[in-house]
Amino acid sequence: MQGQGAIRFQVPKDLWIGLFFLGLALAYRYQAGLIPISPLDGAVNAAAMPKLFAGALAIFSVLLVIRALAVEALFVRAARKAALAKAPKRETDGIKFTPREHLRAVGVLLFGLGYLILLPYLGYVLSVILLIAALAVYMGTKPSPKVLGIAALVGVIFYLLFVRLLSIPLPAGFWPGLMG
Amino acid sequence: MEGLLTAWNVLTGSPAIFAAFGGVAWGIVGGALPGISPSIALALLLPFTYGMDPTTAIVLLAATYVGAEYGGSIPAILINTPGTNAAAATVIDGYQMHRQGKGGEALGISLQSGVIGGLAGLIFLILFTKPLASVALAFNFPAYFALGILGLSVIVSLSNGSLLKGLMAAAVGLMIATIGTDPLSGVSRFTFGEAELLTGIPYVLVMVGVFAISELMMQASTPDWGKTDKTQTRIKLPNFRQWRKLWRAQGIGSGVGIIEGVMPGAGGSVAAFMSYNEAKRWSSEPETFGKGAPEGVAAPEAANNAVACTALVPVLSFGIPGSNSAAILMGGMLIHGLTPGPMLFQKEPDFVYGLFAGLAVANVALLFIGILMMAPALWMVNRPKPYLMAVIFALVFSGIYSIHNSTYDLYLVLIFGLLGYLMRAFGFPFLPLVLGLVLGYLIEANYRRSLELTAGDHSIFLNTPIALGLLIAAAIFICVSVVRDVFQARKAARKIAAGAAE
Repeated sequence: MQGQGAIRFQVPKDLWIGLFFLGLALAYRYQAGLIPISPLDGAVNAAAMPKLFAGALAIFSVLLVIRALAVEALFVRAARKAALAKAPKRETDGIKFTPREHLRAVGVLLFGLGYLILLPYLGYVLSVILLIAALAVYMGTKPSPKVLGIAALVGVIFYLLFVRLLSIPLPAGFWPGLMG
Repeated sequence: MEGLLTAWNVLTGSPAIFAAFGGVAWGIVGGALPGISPSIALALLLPFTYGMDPTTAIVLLAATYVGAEYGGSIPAILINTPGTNAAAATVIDGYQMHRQGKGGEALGISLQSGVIGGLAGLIFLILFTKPLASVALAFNFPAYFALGILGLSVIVSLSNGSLLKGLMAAAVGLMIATIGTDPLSGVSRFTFGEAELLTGIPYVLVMVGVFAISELMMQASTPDWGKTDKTQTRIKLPNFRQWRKLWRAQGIGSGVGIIEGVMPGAGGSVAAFMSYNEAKRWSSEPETFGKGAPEGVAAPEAANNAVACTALVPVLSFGIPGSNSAAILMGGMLIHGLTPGPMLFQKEPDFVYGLFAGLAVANVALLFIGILMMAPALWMVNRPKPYLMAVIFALVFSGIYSIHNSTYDLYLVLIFGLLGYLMRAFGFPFLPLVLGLVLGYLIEANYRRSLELTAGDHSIFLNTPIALGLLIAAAIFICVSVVRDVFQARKAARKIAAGAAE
């Protein structure tokens, strides 16, 4: 019984996930209630299935919370019964990244957002060159003129492929205005 | 005979044959890049298929799947890093062969076995899809609804991770499918006044976001893969004497791959490892396995290429995909206005036979393109990862923009990329989400049409024998998974207790 004090009940990650999805299910259910009734609706209207899905998600979320608590309780009981001084590492689902690594991953999306903000002003070619160069540096390449050169080369290839070959009207930015 | 003629006409009268070559080439390069799984290689290509005719588009995607399964073995053999999950079994003996100076032979065995496995899978696909589809012709509205539920239950039960998370992912997929104008009554749902959402969320945005963008996010925090020197990389196909030692392993791999491909949720990785074990069991030299046995390369490579063909059996006959790649292929069909399932043979015979012909070309062409693409694939693998990832990101964005010429789609892709990343982070499987999305319409439409027949009386699902049988099967799958989940939790607790006793 020596280790009982060291092994404490921890709020499991799945509990928060379950609560988040429960909130999502309730919000979705609320929105489903706002779906208008159409005169074309038959025995089952357009809101029926969404309400069922919301109910199902809510049930699964609650079950996930219960399961998470039960698994933690089983874990703590087993660890205490085994009289461990220190709780063994809990096994969790998903990728094992540090918070810093997670932030780095989310940072990739910011480059996408930045590209979308710049695209209407700078046009496709310049935006895509900046995107490739900035993302390559973010992913680990040392900043150098070579990075910009490679990005420019790929940007021009993409321009030829999408705009010239496939005739996709990608945003031109301020360049046409400059050229009158 | 009529089918052969149709296939020939489609092949010679459309660019499908070029799509087969191009798909295999892209698949090999995509599969060779660690992190780019066959499903990601398919998702990356999906936006570019919009302007193509349906047969060419789906042949391109299916050929990519074929090429990617072989491409995954290149880094597995040369740099001890599987390019795809299914190539993880190839690493064991393939890399050992490379270390012994037999890298070229290992690549040759992988290529030859892939072609043999692919052709075996294709023969099964051609022979068995139509008879299975004719069984599905007996299905009515309640049966189709039940089939959709069964498909979801099986995938949820067999997916990695916890059952509850699989069910939640499926529910979210079904919810995403309800966004847009209700096809039965014309009412808009969950559009929040956004005109862009009225037509619903295109499958391609979800698939590209969840598979490709989330993988690129992951790559930001994972180290670069190893690079290979350019020696020992000439492919040496096995001669007849060597092939005589491999046929048994290739046969085992093909057989296991055929079975696993048809089974939902199994996929190439399960097939590859299972065939590796079986090849070892039936080998006359089992002690060489793990030390560079050629049979240890042949069996898994034949298996994963057989899977690339037979994974289409449930899609074409029932409209139910059994793996990520098959779900993306099915998404591609839906994008092009094709409804996978038994009616496909009656409504679109040109497409079905054209697809079979395209796959035949792709599997045979794999032998030649595999040799030709070796140098470009190695060149790509040897590029610094940051450049590759940045270029792929830019390619995804350019491709997605080109679908509707809209930046709105790009914002949605970013949102789904974040969703995919969160799913990876918290251990949610992807396949139930994607399946919920592509089966959403089938499930809802057939549920509502069934209840129209009985003025809202749910007993129609119990009174239709096929529907009842399928729903019972779905319930059994879920119950078995619940029991499995409970046992796993108890086993984990016992492990802790045992660890303390030691």
